[in-house]
Amino acid sequence: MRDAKEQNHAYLFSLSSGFQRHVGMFYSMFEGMRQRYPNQDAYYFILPETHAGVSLGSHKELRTENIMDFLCRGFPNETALIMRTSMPFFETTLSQKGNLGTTPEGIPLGGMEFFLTLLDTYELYKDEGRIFAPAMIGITLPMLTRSTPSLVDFYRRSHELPSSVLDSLDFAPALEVTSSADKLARRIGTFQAAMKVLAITEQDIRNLFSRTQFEFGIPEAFGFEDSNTPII
Amino acid sequence: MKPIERVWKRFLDRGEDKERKRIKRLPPVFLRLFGDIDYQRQLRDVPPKFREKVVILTTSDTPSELIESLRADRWSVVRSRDVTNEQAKRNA
Repeated sequence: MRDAKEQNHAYLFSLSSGFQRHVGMFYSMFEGMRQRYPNQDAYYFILPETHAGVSLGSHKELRTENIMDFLCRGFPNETALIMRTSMPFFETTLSQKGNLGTTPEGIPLGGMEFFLTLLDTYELYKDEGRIFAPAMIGITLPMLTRSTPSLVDFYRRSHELPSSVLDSLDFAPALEVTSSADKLARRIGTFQAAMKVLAITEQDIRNLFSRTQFEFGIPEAFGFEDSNTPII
Repeated sequence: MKPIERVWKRFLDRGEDKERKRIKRLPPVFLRLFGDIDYQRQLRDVPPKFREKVVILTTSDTPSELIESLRADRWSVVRSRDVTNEQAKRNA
């Protein structure tokens, strides 16, 4: 962050290892979304290995009635995150594993540095009688993954993407140690523990996300005029 | 041709000059290569045209020889002040 600010960049792109082969795709999505939704505080990506229930239509189903379901499927994360350099950057001790306790199975809670920083910032603003609600775009990319052979098979069987697209994605083997099931359990526990520690209510979560919108990545990224045009 | 194929073709057919200007305007990408990761293998996956946009984030205890070797290969490297390799592994 300091480095990007020193070089006068308005935005920086944070990317987890394993996704670097898709950097061009992320940039394209960012450019497309930035044309459609300029001057956002963050553009983040909703990916099958990071979020629950990701599909071609899942961005349309994100509602805040069920907070835990909403968070599992749409929480802002730093796996592939393009954010303004003026945003608070991963500065919370809550994200350190174990500071929020462990699950009954002994999985330490934490991680999710960007999301927990947003919660922490929300709480600080709340103490001052203000509402922190960054303008964000959650971009759903159901086809981008580091691993998950079953997902690759799903797209091959469904013929939703042409073979040239699938080949260019060139799926890589998994690099992370933590299984997806463990991660989901950890996330639910972390959401609950962080909300409790910071005295964040469900209404606060709705306030925090009141300026966040969710979109499907592909049509906008390529300048598709009509985002409602079916792509299948 | 399906609509998705048309938009994908548009993406692949972009001219080189236009592409270079476009890439220049993009924000830098900070790639977190934390933990016990094979750096060389990971970096081979970076598409060449985006190489100059990449800044590699390493841990505070990443060996200096490795950082020097990355810099010798003309990678931009930033060393974390706080995160150690052990912490990075725990947070994976």
